[in-house]
Amino acid sequence: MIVNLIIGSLMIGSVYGMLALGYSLIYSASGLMTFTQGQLLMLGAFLGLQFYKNMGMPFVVAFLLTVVIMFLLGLALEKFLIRVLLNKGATSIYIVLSTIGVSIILPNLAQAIWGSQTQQMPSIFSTTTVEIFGAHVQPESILVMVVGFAAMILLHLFMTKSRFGISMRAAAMDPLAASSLGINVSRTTGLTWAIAAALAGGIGALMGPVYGVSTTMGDIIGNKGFAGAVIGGYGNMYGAIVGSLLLGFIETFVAGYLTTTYKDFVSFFLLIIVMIFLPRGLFKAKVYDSD
Amino acid sequence: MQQTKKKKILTAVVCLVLLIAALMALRNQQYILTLLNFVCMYMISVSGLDVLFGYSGQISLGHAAFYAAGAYTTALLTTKLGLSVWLTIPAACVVSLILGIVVALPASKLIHHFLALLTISVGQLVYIVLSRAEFTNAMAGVSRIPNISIFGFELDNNFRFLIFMIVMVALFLVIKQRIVNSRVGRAFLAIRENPVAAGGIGINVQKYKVMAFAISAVFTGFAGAMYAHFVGFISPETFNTSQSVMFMTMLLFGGMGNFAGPLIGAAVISVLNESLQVLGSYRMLVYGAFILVVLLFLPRGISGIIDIIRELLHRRKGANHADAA
Amino acid sequence: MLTLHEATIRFGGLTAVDHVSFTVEKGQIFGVIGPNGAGKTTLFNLVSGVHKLSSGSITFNGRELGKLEPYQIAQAGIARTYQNINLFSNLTVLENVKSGRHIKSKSGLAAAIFRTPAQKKEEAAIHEKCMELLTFMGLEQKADLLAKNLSYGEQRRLEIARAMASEPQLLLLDEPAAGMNSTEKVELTEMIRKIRDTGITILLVEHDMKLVMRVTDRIAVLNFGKMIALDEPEAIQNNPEVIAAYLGGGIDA
Repeated sequence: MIVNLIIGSLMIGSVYGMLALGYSLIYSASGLMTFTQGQLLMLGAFLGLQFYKNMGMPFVVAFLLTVVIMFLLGLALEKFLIRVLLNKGATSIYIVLSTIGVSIILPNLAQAIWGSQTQQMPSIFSTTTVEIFGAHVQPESILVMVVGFAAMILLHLFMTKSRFGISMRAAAMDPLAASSLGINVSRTTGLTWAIAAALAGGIGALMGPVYGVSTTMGDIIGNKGFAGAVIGGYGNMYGAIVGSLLLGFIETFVAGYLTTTYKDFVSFFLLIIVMIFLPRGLFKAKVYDSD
Repeated sequence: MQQTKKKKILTAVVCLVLLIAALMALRNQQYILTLLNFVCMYMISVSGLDVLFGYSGQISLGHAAFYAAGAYTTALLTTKLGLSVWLTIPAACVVSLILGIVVALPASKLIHHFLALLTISVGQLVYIVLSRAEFTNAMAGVSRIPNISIFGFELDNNFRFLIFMIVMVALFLVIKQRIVNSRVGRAFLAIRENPVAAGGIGINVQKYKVMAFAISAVFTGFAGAMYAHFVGFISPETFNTSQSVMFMTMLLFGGMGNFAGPLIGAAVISVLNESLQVLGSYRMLVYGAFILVVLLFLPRGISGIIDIIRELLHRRKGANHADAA
Repeated sequence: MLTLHEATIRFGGLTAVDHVSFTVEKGQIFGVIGPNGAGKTTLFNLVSGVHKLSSGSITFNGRELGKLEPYQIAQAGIARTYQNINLFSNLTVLENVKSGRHIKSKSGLAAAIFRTPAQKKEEAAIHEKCMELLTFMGLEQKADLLAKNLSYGEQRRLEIARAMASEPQLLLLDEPAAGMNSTEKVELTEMIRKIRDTGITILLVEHDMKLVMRVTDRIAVLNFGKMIALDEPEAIQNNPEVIAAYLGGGIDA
């Protein structure tokens, strides 16, 4: 039981973490908030389903194609909506509202294309379960975890080692100084939206075989990812991961030992408590340092 | 001065006569009467949201929570305890007020995007409780909610209810206008415009933010109570996030921080909503697109357009004066 | 009236205001000058409660201000203007000044909803007082314009009018002449004297030396957060340490 719960926690935690990373990236690069992450995850799941199940591509190809499409979609979202609004002088609350508008459109669009039924995505591996410390686990959920952690490490390397990542962080800290150093600030913020979309869509495609794919799958998960980001300290990449894993653990164990009815209640309650008493999140000191 | 006052009274009388004529003509059009009742509820609710977002600059994407607080309070008190609506409707307002204050105390410290999230979370918390808890009958909801009766006169049909609602809309609008055109309203506006400067002239920013939340919650809670009595049946489905988003869409579309905006928004979106029924669940698609179009092309809503036209006319008038001089 | 005693604030490693002590007497026009980054605006933010003291004390009429929030300090009788203009831009000129009457009026929510006679009377009094103030600041023709549509100099005057609406005992003016042309500056000098003559004590931070020398009774000079001189304008002009601090800038520029 315990092993199952731990694996479940890590898995759902890394799903939240992927979304939280997107929220944090966008916020740290441009100070903006988005509410689209959950719906982008849902869209990614449907794209994965389309390529893998409906079109019969190998899973790896379907997954990579999904990530690329989501990346481009993120770019487009920034360029054709967010950037346009910002150029019109819209304040950040209007940006938030516009992302809410998008997050209403996406699931309905998905429904128009793929229908409102929950669809099963065929398993990726030939074995149905693997045994870890005596617990039987679906191999796909291990995959979610592994890819999640790999993405986190890759993103860390990208942000700290690559030229682009460094200039992105510079742009986040001081846009004016960065642009005077020849960094194209609007391109770097566009890139954060693209990466955020790719992370959400990619993890969505991986979740398909575990949870099934439906148009409503993004609703709650999107807000949970947000909660993870807030708990960790909004805008801090590492905080986003720690906060999301923590949320995954709390939620899974509450469901395992206390109540499944109020599982979601506990998550949102925790989020509210953190916002009231610890608005800068767990990684408060870190946030100050990087300031 | 005297002239404008006479003019005002005259327009008021003309409007009233037209209203009565329209009502008499419609008194047997059940479908339209039902729709108008909903429009009235939304007008009250969205005007409340306007006090919060339009005047004090605080966003809420969880107003369905207050709508639910009002509806469930009166529904449960009348059906389970058999109390009179004269007690349960004020109780609905009080419960909404308290919920408003409870939400506002932490919310008033947050900057707007966190506020958006906090209010969404509150909305979801309330929805989760309503849809799971036993005392609200979970997903089954509360049915057989009695009609409102005023001194033995029962509001048992759409027409009677509408008359009552029109009076209520007028009452709440008068209250709203009086609040926003007072010292309290100026404090709200000051906070919306510049919280630092508002503090600098002695306005207790947090106190007034909480007050705006509380007022807003009462408006929306009252509308929720009206919903419960009008439909006679409530279930959690009505009070989810999309309801909150609909209130916000109405406000954005109509234009905020003024008298007419919420009214126009409530009316147009309700009618649109009805005409989109044929689309079934794709209605939300149109909503989403609507929000984007308004944000991109009509940042001040419909009433913004009216303002612009008025400004243009005014300018021309001013120019004429200059010519004359 | 206002006494700073060893007032100090540190931001991280930087001491922005370093053990500054002086007293502003009732009825004075007191100037604070110093080169860029000397800590003048930080000092203002300390007095008005935007920043909190690291050590030392600030008292106003014998009352400790250190623990108070900005709105409480305003209620205690200190009003201010801002270096980078903080008006309510989408409200009219008149509404801006009316909101400044907040602490001098008291009608609450219930009074507003029921339009009590007292509330109506108060609103009428607010209107009258605010029009008076606009006339005083030469803005009465602009009452119905949006604040954001005023010229730069007018916006500065409107900010002063809004601050005066709360009938403060002490008025903090943070670089009121910034961005003004020379005619406007002359008018401003007159205006500051006129305000003082209505019984309001003034604490003035200003870059324009000519204006400061012409209008103030007493001047404190800050440099790198420390107070290097405290004297009458004439003596300040001849103070070698002050001249040294301004070297390159030129004190009578």
